[in-house]
Amino acid sequence: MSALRKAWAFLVKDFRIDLSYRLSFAGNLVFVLFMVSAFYFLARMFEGQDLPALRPYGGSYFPFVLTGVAFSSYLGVAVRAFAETIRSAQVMGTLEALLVTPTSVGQIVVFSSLYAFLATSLRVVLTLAAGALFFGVRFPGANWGGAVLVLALSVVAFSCLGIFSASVVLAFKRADPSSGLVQGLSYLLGGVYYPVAVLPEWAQLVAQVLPITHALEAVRRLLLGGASLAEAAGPILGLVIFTAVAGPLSLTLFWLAVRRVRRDGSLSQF
Amino acid sequence: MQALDGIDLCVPAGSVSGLLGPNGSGKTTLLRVLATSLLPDQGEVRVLGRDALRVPNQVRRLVGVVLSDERSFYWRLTARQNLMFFAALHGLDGRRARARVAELGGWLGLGPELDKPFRNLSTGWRHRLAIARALLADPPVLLMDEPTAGLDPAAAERARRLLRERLAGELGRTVLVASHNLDEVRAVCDRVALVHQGRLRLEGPAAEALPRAAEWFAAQAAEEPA
Repeated sequence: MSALRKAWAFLVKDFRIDLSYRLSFAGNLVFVLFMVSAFYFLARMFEGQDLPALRPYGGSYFPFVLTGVAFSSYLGVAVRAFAETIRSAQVMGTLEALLVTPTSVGQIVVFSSLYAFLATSLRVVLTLAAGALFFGVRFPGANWGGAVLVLALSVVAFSCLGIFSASVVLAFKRADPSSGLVQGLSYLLGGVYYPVAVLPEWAQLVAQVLPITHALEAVRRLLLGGASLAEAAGPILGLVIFTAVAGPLSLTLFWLAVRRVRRDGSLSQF
Repeated sequence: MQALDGIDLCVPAGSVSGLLGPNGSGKTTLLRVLATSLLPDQGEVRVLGRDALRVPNQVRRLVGVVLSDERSFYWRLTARQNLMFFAALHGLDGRRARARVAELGGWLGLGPELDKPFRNLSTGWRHRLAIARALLADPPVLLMDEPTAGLDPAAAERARRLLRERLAGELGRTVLVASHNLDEVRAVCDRVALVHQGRLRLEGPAAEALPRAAEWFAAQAAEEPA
C-alpha cells in the first residue's frame, strides 16, 4: 500500500511538472500528428504494390510502420528513463532529499520513470488513434488483449537494458554509450521501419538478439494478423528468454552500482 | 580519501548538539552517514538503538534531515505540493498528509507561502519549508546541515529561535546541527563536538567545550597565511 502511494505521488508530481511546461506538453501531442502524417505519405509511395515481405502483416506498409513506430517508442523510454531519472535528480539536486526518506533507491528509480512510461502509452494510443481516425487504418480481428500482454512483457524486457544503463550512469556519472548503440541497432535491425526479412541473413541473426525484434513481431502478428497468443508463441518466447537472461544480470549490476556509490559518497554527485 | 576517521560520538536524546568544524572537516559526511545516505567502510552507527547500517529504512523513519541545498525541492511545484510529495514518501496517506502539511504550515507560519511556487519563495521561506519537510513524519531526531547558511541576520536569528525554542523546547526533539559558525552553535547548542580532518578533536557540554573550540579556531586562523 505504501509502495503504491509512493508510486502515485511520483506520477502526480511528474505530471504537474510536465503540465507546468504547457507549450512543450502541447507540442508533444502535435508532434504525434505530424509524425503519423509523414509516415502516411511515405506509405503512399508503396500503394497498390504487392510487397512479399509485408504479406505476413497484411501487405500494407502504413499499418506496419505505424505499429513499429508506436511500439518502438517504449524501447526508447525504457532504455533512457531510468538513467535520465537518476541523472536529472543528481543535477537538479533532489536525489539526496529522496534518499533520506524511507524509500529504496530501486523504488526511486522505478517510480520516477512511471510517468515517462505512462506518457509513452498515451503517445502510442494517440499514434494508433490518429492513424485510424485521419488515415483510415483498420485493425480487423486484432487481438488487443494479447497485444497488451506482449506490451507488458516487452516493457519488462526493454527495462533490463534501461536498468543496465542506469547502473552505468550511477557508477560513472555519464550517459551510458552502450544505450545509444542498442537503440541504434534496434532501429536498424529490429523491424521498426521495414520487415526483418529484407535484411541480409547475418543481420537477421543479429536481430534475434534484440528484444525489439521479438516484441514487434509478436505485436504485429496479434494486431495486424489477428493471431492468438499461441500463434505468436515464437517471438513471445524470444522475449521471455531475453528477460530471463538480462533481468538478473542488470539487477545485479544495479545493486553493485548502488553499493559502490553509497560507499564512495558519490550517489548525489554529478 | 578518508573522510571520517575513528569518530566515537554519542548524542544524548533530547539535546541540541553542535557539530563544529571548518569547511571540509567531515561534518556533512557524518550527517550523511547518520541519515543513511552514505555507507561507512567500517564502524557502527546507531540512532535511538537502531543499527543504521543494518536497518537503514527504520532509521530513516526516525530521522528528519534539514538539507541546506535549496535545489533539493521541485521548483515548478508549490510549497504545498512539494510537502505533499515528500509526505507520501514518508508513508503518510492523503488525509494525514494534508492535515500534517496544514499543521506544520501553521506552526512554522508558512501561511499563504504554502501555495506559491517554490521558485518564488525567498531564502528564508525556503529554509522554513526545509524544516517543515524534515518534520513531516514527526521524527524524534533532526539533523541540520548549516541551518542558517544564506540567511540574512534577522532570518538567521528567527531560525535559531525556532530551533531552540520550538524544535528543542516545545517538541523535545534531539537535534544535531552541523555548522562552522561558533556564534550559531553558542546560541542554540547544549553540547558541542569539534571535527577536523575527519577526526573528533573535542567534545563535551557547550559551556566547557565552546571556549576550547574558539581557541582552536583562533589557533588555526593564526597558522594560516592571510
